[in-house]
Amino acid sequence: MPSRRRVRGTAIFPGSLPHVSVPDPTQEWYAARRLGGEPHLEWSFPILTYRTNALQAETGPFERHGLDLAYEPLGAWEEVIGCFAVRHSLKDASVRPEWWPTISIGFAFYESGFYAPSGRLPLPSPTDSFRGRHVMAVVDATNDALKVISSWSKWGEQGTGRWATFRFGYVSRAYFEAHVDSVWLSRAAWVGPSVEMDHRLKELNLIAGTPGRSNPQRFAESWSTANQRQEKPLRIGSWDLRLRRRLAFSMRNQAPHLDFLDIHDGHRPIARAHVLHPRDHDYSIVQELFVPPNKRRHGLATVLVNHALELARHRGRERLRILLHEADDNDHGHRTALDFTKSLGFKWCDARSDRPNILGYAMGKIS
Amino acid sequence: MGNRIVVEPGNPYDFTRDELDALRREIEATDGSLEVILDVREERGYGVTLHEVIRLVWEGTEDISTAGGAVSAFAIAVKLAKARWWKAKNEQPTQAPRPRSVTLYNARGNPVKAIVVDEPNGEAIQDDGNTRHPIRGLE
Repeated sequence: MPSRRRVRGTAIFPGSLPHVSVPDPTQEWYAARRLGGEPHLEWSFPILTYRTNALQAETGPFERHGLDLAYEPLGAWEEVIGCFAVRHSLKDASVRPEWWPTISIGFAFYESGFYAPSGRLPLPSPTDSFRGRHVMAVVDATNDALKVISSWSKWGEQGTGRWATFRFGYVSRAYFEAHVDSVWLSRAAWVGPSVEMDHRLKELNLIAGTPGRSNPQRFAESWSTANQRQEKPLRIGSWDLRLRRRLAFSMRNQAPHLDFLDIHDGHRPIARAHVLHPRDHDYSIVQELFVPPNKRRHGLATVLVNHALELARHRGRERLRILLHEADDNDHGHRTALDFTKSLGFKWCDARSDRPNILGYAMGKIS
Repeated sequence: MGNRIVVEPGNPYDFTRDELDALRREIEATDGSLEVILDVREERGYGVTLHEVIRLVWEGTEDISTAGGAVSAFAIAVKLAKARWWKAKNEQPTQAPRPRSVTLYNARGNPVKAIVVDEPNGEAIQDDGNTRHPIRGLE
């Protein structure tokens, strides 16, 4: 697990997180690679860093660990812009920055990008040399570009004022559409879009005398409504566990319901699943399904999938889709995923895509 | 077992195979008994760095601090890093070239020596920041 010492220069909101410890990004990246079963490699994936935090016990309202951490892939430019519209509303309403959603993007990087004036990534020419892929946190957005924070000390535009020790870059919409292959949103799960928040917003609208009509201020005020998690006992053999669930709304277009599930052994989470229920589909999607290597072969993933099937059935869905992320496509991951989904009676489909960057999915009927 | 040194590019996309082969041959030419292994990993995921990185891992029987093979391999890698920095500088005089880093590790993966080639003059200076972590965080 990554060390949680304070590290200057890693806070996304400098000066606004006085009580929050942030992991050393280098250590967090190392931990991600170990969790992914590839400590011998140099690079890694954002989803693996989220998993390292999802497998830690909750530590307080301002930290994103365990089931207090929500993370999900976004797809479209408009979804990113929409997220920043929300952030601006939250900022204007003085909602704590720890409760704002944060976004990171992963993208193809070319030689010309190293020399980008003021960090404005140019579209690569046909002869530009590909240099691998890079991840940056997005700190703001306009209709034309995303502002990203640089982890490189000598690249990009120098910040000003309280941002003076940071450097920034810009990713245009054209660059995003052509070269960004991964967008991850993360947020504190116990606040933010949920059924409880929705009820609170309706209440505030009613009090304001405008039922059914919201405004950014009331939206921001309702954002801090607590979204309690539910839990129930679970027994696997002689192992006493707890199955926990937090229902939220996705921040994707149309805000579908999104269930966050984990299995907790009394000390910390040991397995995780996310189930998205798109509004215009006849199937639900297991966006995340993860059991760390040292907890496998106990049936934890099967329990989570069975619960996902129940949740999907409850919403009237006829099928369930399970995604295989690129991050899980290492030497043994692909075979493990195929064998596991086959054992469930699911049918495999190779379907490589970006945003989310997946290699395929398994689809099963809900009986 | 004789002396052996592993040459690793930090980013597999920064160097061509020909460039790495040339580096390997030059190191071998300094010591005929030294085995030089190129380790170009096929990376997965995200991890581009601004610095262009060369890592050398000494797996010899001789002590790294006194081994002539390790010293000369490091010097050759530094010479290459400087040459690449200056090539970039001459091709684009108005732009700051990417910094170049060279780090020498012992067989346990602990860094023993690191330099960076950077502005203002493309000289190699000691890089304390790169001597803090074992290779890839492995203990």
